Amino acid sequence: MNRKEHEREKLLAETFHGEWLEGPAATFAQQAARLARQRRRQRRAFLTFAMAAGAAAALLVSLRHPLARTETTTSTPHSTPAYEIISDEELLAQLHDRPLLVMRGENGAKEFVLLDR
Amino acid sequence: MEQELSQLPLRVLTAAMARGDDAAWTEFHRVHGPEIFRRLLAATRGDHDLASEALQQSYLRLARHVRECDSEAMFAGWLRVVARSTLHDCWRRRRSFWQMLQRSHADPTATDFSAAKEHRLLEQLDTALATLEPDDRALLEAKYFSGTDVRTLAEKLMISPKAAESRLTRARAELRRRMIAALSHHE
Repeated sequence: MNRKEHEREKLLAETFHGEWLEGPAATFAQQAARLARQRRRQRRAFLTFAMAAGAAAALLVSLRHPLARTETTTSTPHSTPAYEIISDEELLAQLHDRPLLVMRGENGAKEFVLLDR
Repeated sequence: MEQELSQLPLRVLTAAMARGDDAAWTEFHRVHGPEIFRRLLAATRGDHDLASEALQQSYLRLARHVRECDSEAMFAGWLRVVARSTLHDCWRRRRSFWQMLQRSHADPTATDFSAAKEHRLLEQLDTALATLEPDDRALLEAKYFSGTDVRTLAEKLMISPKAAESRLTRARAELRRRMIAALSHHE
């Protein structure tokens, strides 16, 4: 903006608004300043609240975390065992009338495979 | 010249505006306000009430969104965008939908910012100034174009500063009357 243009703009502004820096138009700038301060306070309050909420949430999670581990530990005995010991009669009852393949391994150990599964 | 165009670097000014500093907003109003008002007045073809309402709303919109900025070109562009969009909003609030359509149909550039409109407005200012009484014109030119303060003007005219202020007010009122007449005639 060059100076000559600014001078004409100021004349134009004061022709329609009276004293530019002390008249009604100056109150627009004061209102804007108040609004900017208000917005800044609101932003700060929001940030403070968000940080407090975040800290509270983190605290809650850290307090709940050991409880969750305890629950996992206590639930272990209820899980199904990986194997079951049965008697000869029960074994024979399960193998009755079912095809069975007997494989001999390299070390001489036998492995039994049910063929109908 | 009474004051320099801008006393603060733009980065400092905008940062202070974002904080809501009164002095920064006064400085902004002094340096950038007249240009924004000139654009608004040109875009509204001399509708002073609408231009003033748009100026006030533009300041409030600027206050909500202003951030630190050190690019003059970027800041000037942003001011133009804010002023234009605010003027459109003010226009919509004032006019009913049908009136807006009628006006838009008659002249699609009714509230647009354009260099031609702004140039025409300043030409009308010069024309109105040239047709003033010589004493009034000399007084306004001394105050605005030579940067003479009111006290010095009063001493030159051998009148009190208060009387000089009154003469300035009367001269501006006459200039305004002639400008409004010219603007409505052009419309």
